[in-house]
Amino acid sequence: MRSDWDVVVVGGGPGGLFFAIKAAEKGLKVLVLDKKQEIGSPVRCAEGLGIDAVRMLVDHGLPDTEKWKGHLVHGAYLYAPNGKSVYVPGEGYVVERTMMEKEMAKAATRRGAKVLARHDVFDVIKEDGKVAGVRARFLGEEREFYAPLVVAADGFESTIARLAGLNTFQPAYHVDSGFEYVMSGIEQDDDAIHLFFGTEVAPRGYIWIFPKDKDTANVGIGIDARDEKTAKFYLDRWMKEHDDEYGFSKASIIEVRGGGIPVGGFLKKMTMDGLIVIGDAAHQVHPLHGGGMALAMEAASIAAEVAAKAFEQNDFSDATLDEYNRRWWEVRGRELENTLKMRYAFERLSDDDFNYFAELLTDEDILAISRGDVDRIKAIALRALKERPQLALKFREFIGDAVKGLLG
Amino acid sequence: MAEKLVAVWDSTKCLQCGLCVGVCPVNAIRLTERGIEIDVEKCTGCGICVKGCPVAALELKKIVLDGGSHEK
Repeated sequence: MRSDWDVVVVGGGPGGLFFAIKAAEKGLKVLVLDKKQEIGSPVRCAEGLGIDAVRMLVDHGLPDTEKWKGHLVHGAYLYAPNGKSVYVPGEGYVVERTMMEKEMAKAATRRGAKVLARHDVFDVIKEDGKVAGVRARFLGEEREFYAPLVVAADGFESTIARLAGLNTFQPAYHVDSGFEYVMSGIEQDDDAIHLFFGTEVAPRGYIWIFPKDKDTANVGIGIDARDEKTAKFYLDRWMKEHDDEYGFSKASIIEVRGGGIPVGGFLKKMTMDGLIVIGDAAHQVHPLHGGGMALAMEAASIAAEVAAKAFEQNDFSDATLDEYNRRWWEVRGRELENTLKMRYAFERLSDDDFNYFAELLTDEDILAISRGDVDRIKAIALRALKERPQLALKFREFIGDAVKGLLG
Repeated sequence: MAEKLVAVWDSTKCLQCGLCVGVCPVNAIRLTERGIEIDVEKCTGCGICVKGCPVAALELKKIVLDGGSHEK
C-alpha cells in the first residue's frame, strides 16, 4: 500500500499542531494540511488559555514570549444580571492565537513535521474500507497524500470524519453560536476576564470581555444556536446598554470574528480503521465555558501516544486505535459529561436564580462546578433548595432522588 | 418546474466561520476558498444553519430547480 507519510493531519489548529509536535517527537513522519491561507488566521476564538496549557506549549518548544502568550490575567469576574459579581482567582493568558499557531507550526517543523497551508482537503481516500489518505486542492492543483493514519483535527466543521464515514453530526441543541469584536480604546480592568450572565444578556451562554492589553479586548458572546435572534444582536444590545462603563461606542473595532462552539454531544467513538478525530471536530469542548484549546491539546497528546503504539505494532485498525477513545473517556470524558449535566441545569436558571447564586456561591464553588465535581454541585443544589425549592427540578440531574421524593 | 425551499448565502454578511457547515444535518454546506457553497440538491431547507448563523448571513428562500438554480 502506498504511504507517503506516517500520519496526515487535517487541520492546523491547536489540536492538529500539538499532535504534530508530540508525534514528531516520537519519530513519526507527520504532515499537517490546513485549508487556510495563513496558519492561525482567521481566529474564531476568545483566546483564553489557562496557565498550565501555556506552560505545556513552552515546554514543547514555543518561545517563552508575550508575542504569542499575549496578556496575563489573574482571575475572572462572573456577573449576575443584577450586576453582582463573584471573583474567581486563577492565572491564564489571553493569547495571540494567530502567533501561537504559527509558533506551534514552527515548533512542529523543528521536530521534523511538515505543515502546508492553503491545502483544502476535499476527499478521504479509502482502500479496502480503511482510511488510506486524503485528496487536497492547492491553488488549483489536486494533490494526493497517502498515510496509514489520518488525524481529523479540522475543527467545528468536522468535514473529514464525516467524509470518512464517522457520524460526527451534532444537533443544534449542542451548538453555541459565537460572535466577537476585537476592540481597542475601551475602558476596562485588564487584570481579569469578565463574564456576564443572564437570560436576556446571552441565552444559555454569556458575554465576555477578555483583555489583550490595557485598552484592547476580545468582546464576545456565545448563545444557544437555536435562538431566533443572532449572537450579534444580543452582543450589540448589551454593549449599547453598558456603554457608560466601557466606552464601546468610542472604541475601534479592529477585528470581527464568528464561530460555532460544540458544547456537548460528545462522541463515544472518535476512531475508525486508519482515522482518529481530535479537538472541536470530536466536540472536545467544555460544555459550560466553551473553551476547547487545552482539551484539544490533551486529546492530541493521547492520540500521539496511541499513534506511536500503532506504528510499533504496524496495526492501524479501529481495535488498536480504540485505546484513544478509552483513555479520553477515563481522563476527561466523565468530567465533561458531568459539566454537560451542569449545563442542562444552567440552561433552566432564571435571572432571579442567577442573582441568587451570585450571593450564594464562593469562588471555590464555581471552580468545583467547572470541574464537574458532582458531590459539590449536589451539596450546593441541596443548600439552595432550602431557600428556593423550585431549583429542585432545575438540578434534577444531580439531585434526582431528592426530586423524586418531593414529587411523591 | 419544481420549487424548493433552500438556504441562501449572503457573502456581504458572512464571516466564513463555518458554523453552518458543522450544524448541517445533511452535509450540504462547504466552506471553500470562494466562501460558502450550498448544495441545493442536498439542502432540505430545515433552517438550522439560518438560526445558528451569528450574523444572519443565511436565509431560507424558494428557488426554482431547472438544472441551474434561481431565486424566486
